[in-house]
Amino acid sequence: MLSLPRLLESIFSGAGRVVEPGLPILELQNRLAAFLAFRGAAGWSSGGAGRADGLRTDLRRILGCSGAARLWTAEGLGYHHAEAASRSGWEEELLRRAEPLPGELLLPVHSGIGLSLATQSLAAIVRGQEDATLLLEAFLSRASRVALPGWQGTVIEALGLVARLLHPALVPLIGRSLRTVDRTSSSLFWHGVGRGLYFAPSHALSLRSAARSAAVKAIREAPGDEERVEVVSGVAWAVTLVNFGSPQVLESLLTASLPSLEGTDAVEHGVVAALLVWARGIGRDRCFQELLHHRPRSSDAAEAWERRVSEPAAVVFSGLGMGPLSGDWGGLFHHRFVSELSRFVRKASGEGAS
Amino acid sequence: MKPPARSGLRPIEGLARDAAELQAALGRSIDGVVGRILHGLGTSDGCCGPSVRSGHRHVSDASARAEDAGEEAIDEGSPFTASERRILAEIEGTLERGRDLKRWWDRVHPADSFAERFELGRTFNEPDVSYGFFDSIEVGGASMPIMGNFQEMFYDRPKTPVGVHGVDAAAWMRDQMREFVLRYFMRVSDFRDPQGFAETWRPPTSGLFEPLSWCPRSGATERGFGFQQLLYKRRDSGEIGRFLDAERNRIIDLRELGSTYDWIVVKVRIFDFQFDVAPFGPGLPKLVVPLQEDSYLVVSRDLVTIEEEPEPGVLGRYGIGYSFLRNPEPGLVQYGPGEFDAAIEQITFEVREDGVVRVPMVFVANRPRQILRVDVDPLRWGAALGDLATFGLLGRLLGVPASRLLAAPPGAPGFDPVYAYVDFARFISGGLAEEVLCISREQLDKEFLVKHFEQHYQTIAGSLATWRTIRDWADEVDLPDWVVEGEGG
Repeated sequence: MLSLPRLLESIFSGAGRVVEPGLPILELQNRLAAFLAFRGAAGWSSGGAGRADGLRTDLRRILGCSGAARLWTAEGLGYHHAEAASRSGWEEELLRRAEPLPGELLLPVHSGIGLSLATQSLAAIVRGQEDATLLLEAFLSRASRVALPGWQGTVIEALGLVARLLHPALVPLIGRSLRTVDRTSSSLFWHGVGRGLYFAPSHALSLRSAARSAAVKAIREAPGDEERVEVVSGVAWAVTLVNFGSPQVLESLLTASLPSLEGTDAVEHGVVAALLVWARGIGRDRCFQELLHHRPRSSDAAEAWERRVSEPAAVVFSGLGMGPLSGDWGGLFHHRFVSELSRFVRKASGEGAS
Repeated sequence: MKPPARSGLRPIEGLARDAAELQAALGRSIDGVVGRILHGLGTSDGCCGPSVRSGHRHVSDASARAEDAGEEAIDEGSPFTASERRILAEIEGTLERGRDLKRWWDRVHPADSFAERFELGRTFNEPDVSYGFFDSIEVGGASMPIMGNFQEMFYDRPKTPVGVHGVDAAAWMRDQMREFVLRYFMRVSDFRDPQGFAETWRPPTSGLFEPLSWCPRSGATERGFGFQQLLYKRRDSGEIGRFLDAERNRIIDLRELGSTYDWIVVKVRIFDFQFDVAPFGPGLPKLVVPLQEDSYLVVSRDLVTIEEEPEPGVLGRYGIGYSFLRNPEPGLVQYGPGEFDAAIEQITFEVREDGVVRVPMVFVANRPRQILRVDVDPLRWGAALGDLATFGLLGRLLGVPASRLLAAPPGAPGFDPVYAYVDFARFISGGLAEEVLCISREQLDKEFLVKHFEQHYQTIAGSLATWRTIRDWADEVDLPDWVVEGEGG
């Protein structure tokens, strides 16, 4: 006989597959923790925002942080310093003056800087000061001037996250405009939209898995196949990184039925990219090993985990040494098939293509 | 046979599709609205991160607001927050008033020529000295009523028989005391009372039942002064800067004042410091005035004591000294640390030729004009309460943050319930309240000085264990990390 709790779970899970009780709360907690760590980054600042050595000093200090907090805080510091530098008019010099920066934090720092630039640019679009295409071209130009060589893509990708979170109604317009300007930038934008989808407030009180809800929305909101792959990859990236210590959240995404994405490696790319960011930014620590070797209890989830996490990770990481990862991975966000991703990472790490 | 027409299903399908799109559009709208609210709330408040204790504002927003208010930045693109800039603007004036007070003390104390002197506290078993005083001083061309307390207490002596390495022991004591006072005292001057407990394990109690729980609670009672250095001015370049978070507890060696630094700004937390007003007598309801726990001090060379063989019979005098800054954020309490017009404090360790260490301490401050200030502004109170209920949203619209619930804006009418009671009691009793019951402003002032005396005593007595724990204060390699880093024992 169906018990009342199980009946309620079935109703709330929507599609009939029971989602683990407490999972939505766990996801909410993890997303809040990431958001608060990002917002709290200014508290780590020694007051040197706007000074040449301020960013470098602050980043070195947070190297003492453990776990994902290091990444979110680094992103927040990038945002905080970019805001200050923008007001003083020397944002383009921010990273060059701050060198040498800790290599393991370059990705989140560039992402944070991108969030700042994107917020400013989108505010101008909303105010209707100029044509959206012109503003987007200006944003792309700024991104290339601000970013260190090879990291422009990370800065551009943040535009998608900001657009989806602050001005979701503008997402289709920006997507169309970017497609006419630069297709690579358009792809990165949609990846950022996927990242932003996972943090969307409309999931906050969801009784279902926010990861699944975001993936479903990603498929629905993307205008075409190319964009769909990028958005879902962004969702998968965010789900993995935010819930690094809670693999059951990732399980709920991996077991979601996404037929339109079969064979695209969209989810796989997002998951492995997140693993790479963790390995690069924090190290192949115990948390990393536990996620990599996680074994779901249900057979469906175990099969999905093996196919979408373990095997792709083995392909990408097998060619890399056991030492700390190095290299510039500014193009990591752009969707690739797993085999291509492996070649990209080895090349970026200076270990040569296989 | 033709299949039945499906036209009846199309409107339903269309409705379902429209409903789905409407739901999606609604979801996106919610995302945008909430996202923009969260972004806007975070922009000016800055951090809630690991060093939330400082809670400083986003630098560029603070600079922008200050510019709008017509304030001048210390430097263009100043890296300082608005609170820090208010502190920095006060420093020179505070130092000047502090020097005035010190000059007055150096003149009056040796001559014992106070306008009024009275006994303050009593300790037993040691011939300690303690008294309070009232007087006045010329500050900025105007007379300022001042008050203060002086106390001298025994601290330590070498535990060797006189005549057996007696001279060496005294010199060693002096060398040790020099290092302890000038380098480490401000790093280790806070301490915790010992706390007994019976070790038990229970899962955390929910808030509802916590008052009923008998399980031991963590959290020792802290006493003494906890110092953190915040800002500095370099002597060579005149550069004003902020100490890094990692350096805050590691107070500089005071010998660097006058050589490396002109001054430093220190935040001091005075633990367990409150002032009781018991209008109905002991054991009955009373008003507890929590004196500002966190205060800002400026330390400069002329307030610090470093004297080698200053007079016959004294091997050395080493002491900390500082002038109190006004708290950048005014509040309900109008007197006490952070609210003085002028105040200095000096704690000096004197090593005598027999190795005995005595600690003379002096505190001098303006006499209070007001203890509390409560503004009578129902509209402001209503707005501030609404701010609390809406988690800050209303306050952002109206410009009345909840933190200013009871603090009066400059120039606003307000009243002091403490002095109001004193004046009322005196009026209604024809002066008898003061003569017979000691209900007077003067008595309140003396009570405050007694509190200060007790605080000093606790701080010095508490530091004794730390002083004795370390074998050799001059051997930094052998010192425990918590001493060197000032992380508290």
